[in-house]
Amino acid sequence: MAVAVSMPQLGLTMEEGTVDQWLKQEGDEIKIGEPIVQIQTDKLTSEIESEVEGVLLKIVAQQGEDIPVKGLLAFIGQPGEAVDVADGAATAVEDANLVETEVTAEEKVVSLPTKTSGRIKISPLARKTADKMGVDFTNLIGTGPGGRIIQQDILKKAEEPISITPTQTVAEPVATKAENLELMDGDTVVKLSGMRKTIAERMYKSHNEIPVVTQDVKIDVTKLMEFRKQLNANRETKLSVNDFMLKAVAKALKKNKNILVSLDGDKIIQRAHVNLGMAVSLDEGLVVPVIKEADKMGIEELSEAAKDLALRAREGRLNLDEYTGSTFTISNLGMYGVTSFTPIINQPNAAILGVNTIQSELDMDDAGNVFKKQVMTISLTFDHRLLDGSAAAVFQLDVKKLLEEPINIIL
Amino acid sequence: MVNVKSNMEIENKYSKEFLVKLYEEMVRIRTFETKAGECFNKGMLAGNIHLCIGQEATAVGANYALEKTDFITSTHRGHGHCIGKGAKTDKTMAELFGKATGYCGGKGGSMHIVDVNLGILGANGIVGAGIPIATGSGLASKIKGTDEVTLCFFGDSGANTGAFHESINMAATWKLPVIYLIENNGLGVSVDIKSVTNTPNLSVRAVAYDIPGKTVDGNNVLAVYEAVKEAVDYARAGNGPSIIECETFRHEGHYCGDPSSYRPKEYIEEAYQKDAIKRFKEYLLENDVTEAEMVEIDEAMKKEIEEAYEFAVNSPYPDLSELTTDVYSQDNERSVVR
Amino acid sequence: MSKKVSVSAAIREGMHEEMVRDENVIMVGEDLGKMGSPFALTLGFLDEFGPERVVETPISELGFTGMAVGAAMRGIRPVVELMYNDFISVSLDPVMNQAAKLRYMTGGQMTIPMVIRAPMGAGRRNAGQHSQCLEALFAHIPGLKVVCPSTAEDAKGLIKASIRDNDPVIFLEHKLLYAKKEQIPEGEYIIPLGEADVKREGKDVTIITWSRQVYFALDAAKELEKSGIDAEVLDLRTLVPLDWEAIKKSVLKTHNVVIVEEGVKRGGFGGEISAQIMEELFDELDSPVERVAGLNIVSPFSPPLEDANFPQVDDIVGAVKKVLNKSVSLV
Repeated sequence: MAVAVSMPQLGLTMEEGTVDQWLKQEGDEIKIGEPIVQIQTDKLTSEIESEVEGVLLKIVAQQGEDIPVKGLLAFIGQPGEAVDVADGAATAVEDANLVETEVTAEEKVVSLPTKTSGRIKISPLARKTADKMGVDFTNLIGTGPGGRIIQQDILKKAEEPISITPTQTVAEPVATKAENLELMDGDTVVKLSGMRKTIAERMYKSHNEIPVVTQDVKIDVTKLMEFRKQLNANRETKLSVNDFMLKAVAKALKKNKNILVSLDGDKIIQRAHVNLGMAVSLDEGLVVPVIKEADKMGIEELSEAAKDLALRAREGRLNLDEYTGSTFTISNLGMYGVTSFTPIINQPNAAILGVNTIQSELDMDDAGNVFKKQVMTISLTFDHRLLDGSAAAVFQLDVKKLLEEPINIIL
Repeated sequence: MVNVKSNMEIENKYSKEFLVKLYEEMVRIRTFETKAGECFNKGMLAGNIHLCIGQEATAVGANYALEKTDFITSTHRGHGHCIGKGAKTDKTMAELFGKATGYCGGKGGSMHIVDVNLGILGANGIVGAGIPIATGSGLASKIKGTDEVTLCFFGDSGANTGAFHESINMAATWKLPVIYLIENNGLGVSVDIKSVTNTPNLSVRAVAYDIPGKTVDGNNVLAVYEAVKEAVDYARAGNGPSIIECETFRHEGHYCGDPSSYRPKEYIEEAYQKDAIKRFKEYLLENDVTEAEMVEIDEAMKKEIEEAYEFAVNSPYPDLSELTTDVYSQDNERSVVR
Repeated sequence: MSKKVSVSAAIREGMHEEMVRDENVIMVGEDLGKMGSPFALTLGFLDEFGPERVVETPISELGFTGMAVGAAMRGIRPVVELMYNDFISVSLDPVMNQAAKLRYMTGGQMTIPMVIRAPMGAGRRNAGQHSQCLEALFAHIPGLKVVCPSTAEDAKGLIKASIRDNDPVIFLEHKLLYAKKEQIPEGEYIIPLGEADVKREGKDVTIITWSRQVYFALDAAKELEKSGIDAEVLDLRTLVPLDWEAIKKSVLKTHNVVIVEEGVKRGGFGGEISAQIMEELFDELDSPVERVAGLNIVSPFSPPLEDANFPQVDDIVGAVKKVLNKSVSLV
C-alpha cells in the first residue's frame, strides 16, 4: 500500500510551500529518515524526510509548484504498485488529471476562510455594473443603506483617474506588476517565488504603507573598541561590535518602551517584550531570526544566541517560532562598509535600526589638539504614524550614551 | 300540502315504450355505478367517488320530467343525475379515469361531470353549492323570457345549508322556474338526518316560502316522475319554484371504500327491500313487459358500460400542455403566469 | 373634450353604458333599487331598466352571489354589488369554489362572465368589519381577475372592460375615492384589464401602488421633489392580470422600488410583486424592495388609530428615503 507524502505545516501561519527541489527521483529507493524533497516557505527552506521505506513511486508536485499545507507531493510504496491520487492511497491507476483536481481542491479549502470573512455589501445592480465596467469594488465604501455599495458608487469609481490611493493597496499588496519586459541577449528568467517573493511583498507593503523618517546619529566608539579589545583579550569566543550593539539597543529599548509599538488599524499595540529581530543575509535573500527577551540576557548569552541564530539561519535550520514575534529589528551592514542607509521597517515593528561601518575621524579637543577617533553612524527608520522625531532621537541618544560609555552596557 | 306516497300504485297509464325507457335508464346508471365501484376497488380510479346505487329512481324519474332544453344542477353523488339528463356513459367513465376524452378533459373528475350542451350546469363538490346556481339559472330564464326550467338536485344535507334558505327565499319571491329536489337518503355522510333536523320530512319547509312542497317515495320512479312533472309544469307556467323531497336509500357507503358501519342493519334491509329497480321490474312484469325483454336491456346496458370502460381505459391522459389552459377564458396565459 | 365627475359617477356611467349596450348586463345586490345603492352607484337604474335587470336582493350575500354565478353560466352578465368587500366572508363559496374554478374544472366548457363590485378600504371610521382591503385574498384565487382602480377615468374604463370580460372579475372600489371629482373623457372608452399606468414619471425610484394609495404616492412624490428625488408612480390598476412589462420597464429605469398598499402587510399583494421583482430583476436592484403597508392588525375605529394604521404620505417619503439612503428630514 503506497503512502502519500504531503506538504507539512512548518509553523502556525504556513498555508503553502513551494517545491524547491526533489532530492529523489521516481524509482529511487528511499529509507526512513532520508530527505526526499526540499520545500521552501516564505520563511525558510526545509528538507522533508521520509517516514517510510520504499520506492518513490510518483512525484505529484513538480519543482516550482506552490502546494497548500497537506497538499499531495508524492507517493512512496512498493515497486510496481499503482497509486490512487484521488484518495491519497494506492489502488487505482494513476491519472494526471486527477492529480490536478486533488491539488485544486486542497487549495480551495485553504482559501475559503479568507473569501467568506470579508463579505462585501453591494447591491445586485452595482455588482453587475462593476463586472461590466471592470471596476474593482473590494475597497469601496458604499453610500447605500448600511454602507452598501450601490450603482452610483461604481459609476463614480469608474470615472476616477487611475491613482493608487492608500486604501487600494492595503488589502492585497502586489509587489510587482507584469509589464512584459523586453528580454536582452543572455537574460534568464526565473519565477519569483519562495523567499524572494515574500521579501518582495513585505518590502513593498511596508514601503507603501508606512510614512517613514530616517534619522542618523553619529557615535564615538573609540572607547567601545578599546573596551572590547580588553574584554576579548582573555576570551576564546570573541564579542563582536554587533553584540555590544544588540545589548545596548536592548537596554535602550527597555527604557524607551514607546518604540516597542505596533499599529493595527485604529489600535496601537504596546509590546511587552524586547524581542530583537536580527536581519541575516543569505544567498537567496534575507531572514530575520528573533532573539526573544533580549533585555533579560547578559552580553555573552546574547552573543551566543545571535551567533547560533545566524548560523542556523544560513543553514536553513531555524524553527518557525524563531522567525516570529520581533518587536524591533536591527540590520547591520557595517561589515560591508555602508556608512548610512534607510532600512525598511519590518512590520509590524514601529522602527528598525540600521548599523553602519566604523570609520576613523579626526577631531579637535577643547585645547585645540587634533586627535583621531573611531565613529559609527546608526540610522533609525521609524513609522511616523506612531513615533515622532524627538521620541526616536531620545531613544537613539540612549543608545549612543551606552555605546560611548561601554561599561554601562555591561552593568 | 304535503303528500307522501310510498308504493308503486300509479293511477296514470304510460306507454310501454316510456316505461321501458325508464327501466333502461335506471339499469344504465346502476351498471355504470357498479362498474365504477369495481374499478375504484381495483385501484384504477384516483381520488374519491360517490356512488348513487339505490337512488337511480330519483335521477331518472326527475330527469324524464324535463325537456332537453331544461337545466339541472347536481351534487357530489351526481353520476346518475347527469346520465339521466343524457350524459354519455363513455365520456362520464373517461372523466372518472381522469382521461382527456372525459367530459371535462380530466380536469374535474367524478364530482364534476358537466355537459353544458345537455343543460347540465354541473355536479358539484361543495354540498349545497348547486342551490344558488340553479336559482341563478332560473333567474336567467326569467330575464331572457324563455321557458326553460332548472331542476336542482341536492341531498338532505344540502337542505340544511344556508344557501338553501337564501336561494329558495329569493326564487319564491321572484317566482323563478326552479324545482328544488331533495334526495333524502337519510344520511349526511354518517349522520342520521333525524338527529340534525326537527321535522319528520323536509318538504314541509315549503310552507315557510309559500310554495308547493311534496315528499314522495324516491324509490318509485313513476312517483318521482309525476311529482317533478307537476312541479315543472307549475314552474314553466310562471308560478315559481317547488320543493320535492324524494325519500330514498344509499346502498353504498358515503364514498367508495367507506365501510359505513354507522348505518343500522334496518336501514340496509329496508334499502334492499324497497330497491327501485327491483320494484319497477315487478311493476313492468304486470304491465306487459316480459322478463326476456328486460334481460335483453340488462345485457345491452352491460355491453354499453363495458364499452364505456374500454373507451375510458384506452383513452389517453390529458397532455401536460392542458395543465394551465382554461383557468381564464381571456388573457389566460398572462393571468396564469403571474 | 372632457368633463369633471366623481369616481362613483364615473363607475355609474360606465355601468349605465354597458346596461344600455347589452341587455344581458344586470345589476344584483342590496339596496340597488330606490336607494340606488349606498354609494349611489345604481341611482336611477331601477326606473330605467326595471326590476328584472336591477335585482334588488335580500341580505343574502351567499344566495345572490351564487345566483349570479348560475345566471352567468346561462349567458347573463351580472354585476354584483357586495356592499363592502368585507362581506365576502359570507359569500365566498360561489366566488372561490364556483365562479373561479368552474371553467377549469369543466375543461373549458363553462364561461362565467360576472363582475363583483365591492367598496373596500379604510379611512371612513368603519372599524374592522367594514374597512379591509382584501385584494390579496382574491388575487390568490386562480380564475379570478382583480381590478383596483384609482381615478375616475380609470374606474369608468375599467368597469366597462370588466363587464365585457368573460371571466369573473373582482372590482374593488375604494370608498374614500367615490366623492373625488376628476376629469374624464367624454363618451365611451375602454381601459383594458392588465394595463398599468404611469401616473407620474420619475427616474430615481419606482413607487408601485394601486387604488387610493396612488394619491398618497403622488403626494409623496411631490414631497420628495423637494429633496431632489424624482419618483415614478406606477398605478397597477389591475392586479390580475398583472402588467409585468410595465413594472419591469420602470424598475429597469429606476432600479429602486417601494411598494405601497393600504391592506395588511403580511401576505399582501405587495409581497407578491416584491418577490417577482426579486426573482426576475435581482440584478437590476440597487437596493432591497421596500414595502409600505397596513399593520398586521384589525382596522381600528378611533380616527387617530385608524390613520396610524394605513400608510400616509410621510411613510412613503420615509420609505423612499430609506431605499435611497437619504436622511429623513425631521422638520
